Amino acid sequence: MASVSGWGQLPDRILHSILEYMVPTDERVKFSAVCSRWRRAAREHCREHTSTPPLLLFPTPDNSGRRRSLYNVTRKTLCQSQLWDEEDSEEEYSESDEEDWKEGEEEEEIIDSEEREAFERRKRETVTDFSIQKGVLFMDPERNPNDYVLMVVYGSKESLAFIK
Amino acid sequence: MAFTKKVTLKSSDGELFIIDRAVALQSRTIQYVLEDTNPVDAIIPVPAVDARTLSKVLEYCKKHLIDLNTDFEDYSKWDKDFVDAEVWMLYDLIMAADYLHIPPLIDLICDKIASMFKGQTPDKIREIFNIDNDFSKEEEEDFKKKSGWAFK
Repeated sequence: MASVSGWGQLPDRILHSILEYMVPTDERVKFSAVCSRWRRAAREHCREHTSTPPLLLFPTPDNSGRRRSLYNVTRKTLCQSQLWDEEDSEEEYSESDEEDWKEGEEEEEIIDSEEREAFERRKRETVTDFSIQKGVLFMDPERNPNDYVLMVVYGSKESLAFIK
Repeated sequence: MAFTKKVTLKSSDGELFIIDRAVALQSRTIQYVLEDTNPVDAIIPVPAVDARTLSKVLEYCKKHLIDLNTDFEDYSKWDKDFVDAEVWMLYDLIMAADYLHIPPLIDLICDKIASMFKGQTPDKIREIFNIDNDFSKEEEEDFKKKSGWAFK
């Protein structure tokens, strides 16, 4: 029974239990980099679980113009993972792994697919066009699909945007 | 209705384990078997678990039955030592805990496995768990580009 290579074939429910115990984003990203089966489990887990509070967008420590740090409010630490300010095609953007993480961890799940799309589009526009410095999401969009607020500080003059 | 205080489990390799019914009841799988069939002196086969793993699982079940009143600290130390095992043993244990359906044991092992990711790179994790890298070169490159920090 000691088939060590079986780790790659663990049942989904076990993979999900393992993911439950991981530090949001950082370790889960590593988990998803191991093999395709684990990656699939991590993505599903990310979509199904909304317990993580949203992460804040921060400038990176090295002040990169193309990347953003993520700040975990509950742990009061910066995540190791960073968001890329994508300039690639739309398709690549939405398919990239990092974006999957962002959807799940930062904005929490938005069940309504239309809304999700709109949200993603908004996010994309703001990230690419205005270089967001900070973003805060009020209310859980899942519970209050018509009554949540996204507030962002953007641009070099730190203008404030309010999206309700 | 006959009430058996002892239950006999038979591992995949044929070894018999005679244990208290209360210990066995921590496994929901066995609980269902007992409730459904109420076997008197019957042997319950556990075909998915070998003797070495089963004895370890039963060790956990016994400990957690007897020590329900022990304070939290003692308990967590024992648990920590319990999962301080080789990777292949953890695999056997989690598959057994899953088959036997013992949620606290599943949680304990998953917590342990998750803790093994700390400070490791995906390459190292593959090595620890002996997993093949089945990503294409493109996928790998793409991931490294986006999450290069994870590989350091």
